Amino acid sequence: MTNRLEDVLENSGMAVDIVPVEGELNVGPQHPGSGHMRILVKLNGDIIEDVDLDVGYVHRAVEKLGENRNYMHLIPLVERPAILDSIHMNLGYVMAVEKIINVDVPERAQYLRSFAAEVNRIASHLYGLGILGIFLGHSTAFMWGFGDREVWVHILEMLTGARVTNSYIIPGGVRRDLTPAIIEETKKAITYMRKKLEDWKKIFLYNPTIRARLENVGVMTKEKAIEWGAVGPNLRASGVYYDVRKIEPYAAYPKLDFEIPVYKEGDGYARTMVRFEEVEQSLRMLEQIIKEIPEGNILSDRFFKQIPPTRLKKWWEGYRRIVLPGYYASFRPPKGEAVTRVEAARGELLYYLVSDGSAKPYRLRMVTPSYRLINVMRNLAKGSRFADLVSIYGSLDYFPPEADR
Amino acid sequence: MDKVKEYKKANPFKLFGDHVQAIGTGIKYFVRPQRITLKYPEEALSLPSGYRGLIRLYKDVCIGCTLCAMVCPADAMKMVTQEGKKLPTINYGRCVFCGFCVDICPVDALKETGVHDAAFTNRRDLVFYPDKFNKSYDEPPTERVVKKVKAVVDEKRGIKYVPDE
Repeated sequence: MTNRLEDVLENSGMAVDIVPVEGELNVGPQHPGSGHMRILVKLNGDIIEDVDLDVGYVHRAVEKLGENRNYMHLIPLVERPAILDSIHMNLGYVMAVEKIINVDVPERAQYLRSFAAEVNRIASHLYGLGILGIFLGHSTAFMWGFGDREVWVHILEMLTGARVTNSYIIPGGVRRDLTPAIIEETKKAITYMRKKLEDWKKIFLYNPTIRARLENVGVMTKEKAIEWGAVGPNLRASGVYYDVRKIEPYAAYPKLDFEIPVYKEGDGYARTMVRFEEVEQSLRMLEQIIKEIPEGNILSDRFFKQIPPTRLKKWWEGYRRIVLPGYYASFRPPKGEAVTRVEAARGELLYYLVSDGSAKPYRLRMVTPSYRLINVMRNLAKGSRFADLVSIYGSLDYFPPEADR
Repeated sequence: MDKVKEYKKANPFKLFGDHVQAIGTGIKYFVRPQRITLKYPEEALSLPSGYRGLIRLYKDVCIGCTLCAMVCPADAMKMVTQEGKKLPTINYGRCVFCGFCVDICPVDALKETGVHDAAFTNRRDLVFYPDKFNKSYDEPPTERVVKKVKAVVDEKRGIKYVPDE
């Protein structure tokens, strides 16, 4: 076939000299996709020989700053790295603090934590799918992803009072209660999202152009996924059943009925399928939470008793809001250390917190899911075609600020 | 443990049908578009109750306990002494709108206003000393050009804007 084509070209006087090209290419010193990172690609013709991810462009030294601020000050700080996944970032940190100060969280607060986390997971997955869409040149998915995300951001805004920088979870509970108006809006949003997901599938997931760009691209076998340390939906797309919500349940997850989608193929399409099905599972969980949420307090009794009665009457009974007792301004937890894991939208998120008895943590270690994807992405991109680099990047849902912290 | 799924490999005969389906969905949204863009200066979004917007101070209520300055994660709130009384002052250049100061104030001397769009021409204007902080920064334009709308979730259209009285 190629010989014939070359013959035809030569006979018609349109012959081209094909010179094999080797060299390096900078993919976006600033914005290759979602966030700031440079990818140094070493090319041999169209094939990627090596990839060097220049991480650290948006490094904000969260861990070091953590040593100079007290425990409450860190709540808004730890959610900054992954602004679109802030509830999970916040939840993992607060769970570590709770382990150190040894406080029980009421049942209703646990359910509310799961509620906020699942709403946030849907919003984050829609963001990831939108970014994948625009990487593949599918602008509709980009617009839809960000448009549908707005619905869930709106619910978070009603619940927490801010669109993305929620700072919703505090040691001992959560800050605001679920009101009937929010439940009503959530029910509508679930109906809307179920209907819209059908259209999503028709225009994006089952679209042959998208399948052609994702199937058999960036294939990660089960063994490789474990060896490279993949986490979250990317790990589950390679056939490994691993989800912190099931392995080490936290918040209200032990009481909720949900499935973990696991796919065998390990390619870009399987990763996208896992994200879609996780959105469906999150919708199921939200329905259960709305139905089963128990009545009660949303802050641990230990702190609830410290709130002045007049304020309690005004805020808790009037607006279903918790106000902070003075304890939170600067508390000194006992000596100790805690490790917590949560399943953030992009995978397992680990916090390691050491307290030396002072008002500030001695050490805060934060291992974010995207940080663990750096190695995966580097290995996956080797040997693939240059045009597939964006497919791999998008299907991994890698988010540079989260990796850089 | 849930079972490991496999997706169906593309059937070449179904590809045509899938293309038609994708284009059909596109046409559906071409005929009935789902727009959520707001014409901002003419249409302004009113925020849900409890939104953590700009903060205001009630100077007479404040007891000068410094809890707000202590809990502030961004060092935006500082205490100044005025006529022998300690009062908070806020720097909106640093504020992250977490609302901790409002929640921790034992006498409710701070309040979240529902305003979040503010513009300043000078960096010094970002610092609100108690006298300025004591007033509500609540000056939305009242001319008839501005149509106040609020966002609600709709089962068919996602986000929908309805007029807000």
